Amino acid sequence: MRTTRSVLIALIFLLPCSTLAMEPVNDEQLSLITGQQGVQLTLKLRNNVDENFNPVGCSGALNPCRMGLEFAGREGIWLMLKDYYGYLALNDIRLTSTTLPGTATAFSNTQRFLSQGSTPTCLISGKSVAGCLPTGELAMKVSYPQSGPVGNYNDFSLFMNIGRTALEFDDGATPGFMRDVASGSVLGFRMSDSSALNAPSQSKFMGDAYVFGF
Amino acid sequence: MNRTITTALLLALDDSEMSSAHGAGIAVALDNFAYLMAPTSYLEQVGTAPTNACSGYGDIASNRNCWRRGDLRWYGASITAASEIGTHWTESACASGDFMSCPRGGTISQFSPFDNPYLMRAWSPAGMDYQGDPVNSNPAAPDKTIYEFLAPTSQPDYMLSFWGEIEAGATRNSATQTLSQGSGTANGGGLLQSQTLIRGNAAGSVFRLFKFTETGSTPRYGETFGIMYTSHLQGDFRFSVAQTASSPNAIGAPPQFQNIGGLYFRNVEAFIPLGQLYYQALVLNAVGTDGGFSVELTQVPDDPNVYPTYYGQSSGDDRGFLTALQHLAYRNTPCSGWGANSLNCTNYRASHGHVRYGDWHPDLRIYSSTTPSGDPGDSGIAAGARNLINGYIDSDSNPANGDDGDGIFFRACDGCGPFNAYAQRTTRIDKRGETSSMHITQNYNCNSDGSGGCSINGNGPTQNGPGNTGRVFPTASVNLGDARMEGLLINRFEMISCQAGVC
Repeated sequence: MRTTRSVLIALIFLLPCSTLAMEPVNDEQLSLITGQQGVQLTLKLRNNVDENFNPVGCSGALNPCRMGLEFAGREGIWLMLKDYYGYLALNDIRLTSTTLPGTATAFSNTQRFLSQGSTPTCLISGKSVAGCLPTGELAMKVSYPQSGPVGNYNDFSLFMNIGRTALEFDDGATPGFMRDVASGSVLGFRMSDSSALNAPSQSKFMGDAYVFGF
Repeated sequence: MNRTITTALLLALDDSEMSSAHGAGIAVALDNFAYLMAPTSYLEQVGTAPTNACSGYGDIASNRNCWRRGDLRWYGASITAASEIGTHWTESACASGDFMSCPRGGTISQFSPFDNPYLMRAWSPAGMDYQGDPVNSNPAAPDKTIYEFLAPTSQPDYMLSFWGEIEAGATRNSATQTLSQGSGTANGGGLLQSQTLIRGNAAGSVFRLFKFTETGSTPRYGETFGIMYTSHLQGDFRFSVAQTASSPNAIGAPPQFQNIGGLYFRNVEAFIPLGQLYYQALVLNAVGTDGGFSVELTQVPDDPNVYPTYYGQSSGDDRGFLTALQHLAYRNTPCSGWGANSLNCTNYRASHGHVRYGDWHPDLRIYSSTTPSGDPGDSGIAAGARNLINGYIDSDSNPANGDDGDGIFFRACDGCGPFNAYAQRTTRIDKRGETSSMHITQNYNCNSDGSGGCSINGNGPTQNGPGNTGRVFPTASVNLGDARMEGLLINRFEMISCQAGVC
């Protein structure tokens, strides 16, 4: 099968304000696309690091490399991830369309796709309650066709540093995410590789994923 | 997947195809699947210098009653096929023929079958809130929505594995220094490498997100973000530290562990519910004002409307003991077969966990005066039948010492000598002292006239000297037996994280 390869590289970190906005593609433009046999993507994301994965301005108190989470019912209390930086890359992930098998596996469960309630119905169109399985349905197939042999880990890269994790509290007009009172370290996490300082961890995926709705 | 899969073009769905999708959820099937992180890649929990830190090394005062920084690293996490053929952490071939030797196998066929896949969905199930009031009692007008992630209810066994390092005494700044700098071994600490192999599956596990439902003017938790996780693991477990002679045994370098050896748990089934829909959840709390926090499994509401659902006691039982016995006896009987107690059964099994090591279990017989053979729906739980438990019948023999096929056992590494397993306790005490008793070839009698005297003459020991007073038992494998925890109910727990010396 000939597969048209489309490689999209997305650099989503620190996009300048002059970047064009993403807009929907109309029907005429869609009809010009010839990659209907599949799409292959590469996604790269840098967060507070340069091209060599070195952190940029992420040391010292109240440095800008931080992310805060505020939960409902905990207003004014911020779970802060400080000294936070990293890198993520998905390399050559391929999306194609496929049809699911027509026969059930030994693990099948007809209860999985039933609606809830006293009189459940099958949520897969055209299937009875007793035979409520996605056999023969359309699905999106996700794979890493460039995945290498044993010892090759190039499908997924992740470097992450959370130097400190602590709560910060709102103080008057100053929100908690703009404070660094808890200067000590409560928890620190790091995802990396022992080959070098700040080297991203490397992973590989084998096999295929089939994604479908119901 | 071992099924015929045809390809199709990526085309827009037409209206009829769109209308056939209900939007109830998204399914993810994984076939011929494996995930492998590089053996040199890791997740690290970075330590900090403790208060009362040790300043000296060796057997000196400045190295006593003090603390050293600890760092933890988990390397090479992988999900691969459960196989006796695969690779070691060094990427060299592994083919030992032992069921728990190879940390990494090949791909897993039907890891998440397309007709029993992982599901993600948002919906509005009925339930009960923290005040004991019904939630979503009208399906046509629900007021609460949850998000849930469901594992397959049935899937093949696979191997979940990783190797790790525990480092004590490191001084490095992990953000600016490599692992070879400021190591614990160079600063009076140490490094221990280990591997963990889990061969089994997590079928039936459930992860849910929802808004917690406690209301009121001064709530303990309030309507905050809540997480509920029901863990269901089954399979075998091995933890080992013995490496081969050629293994580098150096920080950050993938080691090669012995093919066998270590601590094993076989035939494990662990079902642990952490939270109950709407009225018990994992929530975030502040601890003090210095940045510390806790993740708490909220306490069970002190509300009589909640008790029947949470405790799930059978009709007529007000203590729970007989309900627990009943569930142990009829653990394989679906709740639909429990007659009048079917709803109680469903509630009990949603809130009570169990952890079973090994396949032994006591077969309890609960008799009633009316139905001696015991159907769960109407057997021996009525008030008049509470003392009619007939005893225990083992369903499977508890493993013998040295058995490495079941239960919990320690096993020596391949080619290693025996280890001293446990104390062999003295079984006789003789008032004459060790020079006159405890001989290995002991053969003596005390006076037969009942006078209480004993003599080494005549029938006494054939030689003098201490007997077999050894306290250890050398063996290559020792089995601790099977063990079970049933009716595991978690009313509340809290994990607290603070800066060193602050909490």
